Amino acid sequence: MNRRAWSGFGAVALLAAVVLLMGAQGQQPEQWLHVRVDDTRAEGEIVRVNLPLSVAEKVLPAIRAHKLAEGKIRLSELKIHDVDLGAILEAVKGSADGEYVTVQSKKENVRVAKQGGYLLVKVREQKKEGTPDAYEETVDIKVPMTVVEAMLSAGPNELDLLAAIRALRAHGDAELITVKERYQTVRIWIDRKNTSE
Amino acid sequence: MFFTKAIAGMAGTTLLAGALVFHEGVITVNVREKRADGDHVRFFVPATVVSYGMGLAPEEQIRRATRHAHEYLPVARIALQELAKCPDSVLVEVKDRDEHVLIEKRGGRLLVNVDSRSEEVHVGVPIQTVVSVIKELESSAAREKAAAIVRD
Repeated sequence: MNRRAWSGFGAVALLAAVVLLMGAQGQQPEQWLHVRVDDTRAEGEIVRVNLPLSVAEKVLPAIRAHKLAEGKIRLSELKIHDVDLGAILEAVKGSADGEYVTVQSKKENVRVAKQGGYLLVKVREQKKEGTPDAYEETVDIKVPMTVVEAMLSAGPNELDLLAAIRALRAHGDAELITVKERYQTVRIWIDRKNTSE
Repeated sequence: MFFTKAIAGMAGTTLLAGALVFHEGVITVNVREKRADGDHVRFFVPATVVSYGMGLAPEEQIRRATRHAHEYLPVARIALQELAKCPDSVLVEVKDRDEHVLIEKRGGRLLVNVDSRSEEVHVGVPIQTVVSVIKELESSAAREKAAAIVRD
């Protein structure tokens, strides 16, 4: 093969590589939100939900409920037991890693912390007498701080759920919520698999 | 000569109808009762029948159907349109002692399978058919809204 043929072949190969690379960048693998509920009792249920995050991202702006519009929730509606969630999240956002809330009572222990780029919430309900497990119920919530920040990006009185979903898509695999009871386990997580096994 | 033309015309029409049914897909329903003398109902409906049937349905009936659901129609349409672009997957699975329910997206179709102690139900619907039905319902809701504005 002469030099002209080789250079022609090289140019075509280079062009093909560029096109393939561009295609690979444009086609991000789909992120899936998974919900899995396992109940080990004889009459218990097993539930699996697999939802592509791209669907959630497109659907959310179309939902118009009195609290939710254009993918945003008005924060004044999100007070729980007079606790201003927005103020707490805003405070955590700008702070260094550490433990922010610790509640220890006879009934349960609650811990809210920021650690390694995640907002962590741990709830441990104390066991009732006569039960074999260490805890009656455990709740673990682990939200990437980028998602928390995206959620607060709309302003002081709103939570931007759409931005949060976009941040989740950008974040990659994450274990979001795990709830364990004696018979039941609930897991919510995201990854690139389209099955929840 | 005439006979040849007629045959060619019929063949062309059949081919066109076949292509249309193939393009739009088929709605499948399969219900089997599990008792010894149980029924087994199985039918296939070309999705085009549903698409064109919507155009022939009485406007009042469609209006009644959309009266309470019109807010959710765009949400359902967008969700299905996006779902159609996603890879095939099991979307929802619920299993207990008596029943196993499976909703999955496979090759542009939504499949609903229910396996209970008493019966087995399998329904398959092309996603595009559901989308076109929702679009028709949305248009009806928009027409009613416009008529209400003119009345007021």
